[in-house]
Amino acid sequence: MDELITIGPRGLYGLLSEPPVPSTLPAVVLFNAGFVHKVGPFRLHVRLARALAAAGRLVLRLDLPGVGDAPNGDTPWLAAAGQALDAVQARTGTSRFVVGGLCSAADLGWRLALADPRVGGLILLDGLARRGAWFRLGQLQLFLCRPFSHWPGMLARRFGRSDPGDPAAEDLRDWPAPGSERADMAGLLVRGVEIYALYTGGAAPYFLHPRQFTATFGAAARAPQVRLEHWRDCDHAFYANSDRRRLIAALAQWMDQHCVA
Amino acid sequence: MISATPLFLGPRSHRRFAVWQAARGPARAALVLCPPWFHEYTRSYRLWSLLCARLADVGIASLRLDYYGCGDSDGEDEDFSLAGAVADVDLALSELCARLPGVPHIVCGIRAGAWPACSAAARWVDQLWLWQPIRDGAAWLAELRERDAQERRSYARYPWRGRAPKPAEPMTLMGFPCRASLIVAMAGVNLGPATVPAGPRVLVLDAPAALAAHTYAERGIALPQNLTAWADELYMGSCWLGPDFEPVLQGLVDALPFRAREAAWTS
Repeated sequence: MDELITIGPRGLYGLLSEPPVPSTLPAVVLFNAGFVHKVGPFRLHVRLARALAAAGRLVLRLDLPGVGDAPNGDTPWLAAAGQALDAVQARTGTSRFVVGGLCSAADLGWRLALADPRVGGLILLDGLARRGAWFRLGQLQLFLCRPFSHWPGMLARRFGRSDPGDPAAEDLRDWPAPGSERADMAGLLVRGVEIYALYTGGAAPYFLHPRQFTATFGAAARAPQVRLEHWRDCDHAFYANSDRRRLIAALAQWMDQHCVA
Repeated sequence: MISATPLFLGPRSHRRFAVWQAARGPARAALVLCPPWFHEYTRSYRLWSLLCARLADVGIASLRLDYYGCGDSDGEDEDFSLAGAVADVDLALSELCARLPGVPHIVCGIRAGAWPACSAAARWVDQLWLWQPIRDGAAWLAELRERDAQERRSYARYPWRGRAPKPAEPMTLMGFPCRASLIVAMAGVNLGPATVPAGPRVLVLDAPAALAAHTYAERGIALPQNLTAWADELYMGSCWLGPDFEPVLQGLVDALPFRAREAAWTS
């Protein structure tokens, strides 16, 4: 059953999906995917929240300032995300959280995990990754899997002049300065944070090869606390119902195995 | 922006999520907003939130509704139906009448939301606003299927699939699971003089070139391009109300029932 919950003093609210019986498991907080309101792309967040609640977890989904029903306000997203944790803790007593989500939600989850010791689990769906040599190899693989008739257009795009005003993937995201993520990842793992990182085929503009993950986050990213998946056949917004079902099942299983205390 | 109040309507076993937006000052009219369906709902949600905030500024209170099986309402995706949406609008209108009994009542249907809006409006309201209403259900269904095929073969969406499109999934529309009965009901919809209720005053908002086709409307308001384009888009951006919305708002205020305009003049 979903219940309304007030977040902070500035008119934010969320919907808390509650398990049938009180739970001691870490609660889950899902942030907005881009500017999609708390329902999530193709209602993904609603279905995920209710599925996880049925499996015994509290799940909060909310609109951050300027998204969905939330007033624009002057509360930075990181502060609003912290207030969301405060609200769940005040209502339920839970003090351990799994946070994150898709795209900008992954970026915010990463920043919140670094700032708030209550975060014990991170969901990074199409989160941060740096390009580099493995990305170039992925480009080659991608090139070869396209029909021969597409090659001239792809080559033109690859070597043609791009408009310097066109934003790159990282320009549209809230990513830390290059280089800091290795130490940050190591720090999170020392703290015991569990991480689920999934990259979809829709992240192709910046993620094309699983080895990019270790190249980005360093050797620490090979720790058993980190689950990495690359779903090349899935798009960034989980358009296909089967992909949403697969994601919900994968996250539920990962949380059952890794986010229990 | 006046902060809105989320709430649930209906019995605990079958709740519909809604957002109440009180008017700034005394209300001179009250409106139920029936959102568009499927991907159009997600794409435009912020737009309707901002619209209701602006309506509140000019004295129009509103209740924005999520149909059962949609958005934050209870129910699975497959539970969404046209008949259920009509019942949901009725429920929202009864809530509106209970909250503000003494003012003119309006129902605003957006795109396919026009369909349940028309059904409910015949019984309940003083005015019916239709925002880019879909007139021909069968034609829209064909458009959705073509769009779905485009999305499944989109290189930007599925770059790794080579020549093969993502397989179609049975009993889904634009990625949303649905029942066969919904598709049958959609295919039978045809908005026109015979199906749009004659009682309430009907106002249509649409692109300038599309207005003439709504022959059942008493009045039309032309929308600027940025307030119509969202219906063709499918990505995770947001929609905004710019300064070019102000003439549209003025047109809506001018079209209010006389007693609501009078209330504004005296307040």
